[in-house]
Amino acid sequence: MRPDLEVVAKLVTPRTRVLDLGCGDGQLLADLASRLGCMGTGVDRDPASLLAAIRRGVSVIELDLDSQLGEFGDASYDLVVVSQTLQAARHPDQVLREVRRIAGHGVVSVPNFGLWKHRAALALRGRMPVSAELPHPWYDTPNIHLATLTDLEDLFAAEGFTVERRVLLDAAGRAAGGLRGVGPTRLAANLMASGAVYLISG
Amino acid sequence: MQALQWALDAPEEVGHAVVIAASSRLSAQNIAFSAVARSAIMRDPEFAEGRYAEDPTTEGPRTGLAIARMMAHITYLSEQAMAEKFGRRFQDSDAPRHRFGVDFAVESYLEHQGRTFLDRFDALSYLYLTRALDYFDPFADPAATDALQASCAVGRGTRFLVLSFDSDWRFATSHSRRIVRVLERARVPTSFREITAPHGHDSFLLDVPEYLATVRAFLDHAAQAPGGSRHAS
Repeated sequence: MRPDLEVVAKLVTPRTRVLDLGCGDGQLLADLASRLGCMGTGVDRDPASLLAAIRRGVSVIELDLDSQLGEFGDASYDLVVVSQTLQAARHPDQVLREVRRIAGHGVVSVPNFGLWKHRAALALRGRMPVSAELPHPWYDTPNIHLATLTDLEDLFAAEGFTVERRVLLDAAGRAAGGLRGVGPTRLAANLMASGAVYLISG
Repeated sequence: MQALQWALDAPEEVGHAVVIAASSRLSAQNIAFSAVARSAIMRDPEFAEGRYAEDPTTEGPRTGLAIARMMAHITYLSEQAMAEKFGRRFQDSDAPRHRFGVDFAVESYLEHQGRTFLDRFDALSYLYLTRALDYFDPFADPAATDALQASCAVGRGTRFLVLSFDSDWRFATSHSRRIVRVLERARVPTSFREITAPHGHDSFLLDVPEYLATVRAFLDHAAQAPGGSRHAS
């Protein structure tokens, strides 16, 4: 499984009902179903991903995150996973509001634009960063709303969410154990982490 | 729609259901088309108040049934499909003949569809089937999904694949979305895709690779799953 999804999976309570926005090929939901007895639904728009998810028995609904999340009922899930997806939404703030309406709890995984390498690319080379974490050129990227961890945490607060847990990720998308030594300060995390997974409630 | 009904009636008998270009409740427009079709049949003098089979002097309301089928066929195709298939071509000439009979290719197609229908369909069946569709509204009962939901909760219910086609204006994607909404809210495992295809409602009969690949993926999984032999579509 994608390393960051393993981090996500660790934040999910067994036997809960999970909605996975941007579920890709359904890896996470299949894992949650078989290991933790979770029931879930995925949402995606990529044809190859939808086929792969259906083939492995994951329920997926093709719809647009930005305009069609209203299809899901109020409080109809225990948790909404938004994994490497928020930055690709046209209206990330509205997606978060839907997370609150649909479940009240979310696991949000994002890349960190504040990583020192990205800052260096912009500051020293005067160019938008292209890296392992953000592999796309600026003109052809699904990531239309890049943010730093600090930006994102501000948005969580503005939308009335509390951060219950934050797991910083290294360049490979694994839980960055080494970063614990850096301490929990926002400043350090925002400089050193390639990304983060948040458990939020609101 | 039959598959949907079966799953609601006997969820533990149906492991997997594929619901394609369907509806859980016809719109006023759908019913209006049915009404005109029925009217064509019932106003045909040969209809004889439905007792045409008892009368050896008539073959029944063939004119009405053919007209009903011609009109229904218009709803099966998208405007784009008709434009591509027929355009404004003439059937048997290069120039208009300025007559009321068949001149355009699309007219010839509808005539043909109406005519061939007569050999394989009975007018009364047409009335009953269209009426059954008009009244079909399984979710009207708030308890409609209870049995299905209960079966799914213990892993013995029906898994659904619901598909629509973006050019289908007879049972547009909104019809499928409604089915998905109701099933999903009843916690029934449901997948949905809107397939891009230019042919209108008839896309479900045609070789649309993305459509076939999706059904294949669903059936591949169904074939491996316990109880995989219980299917409906």
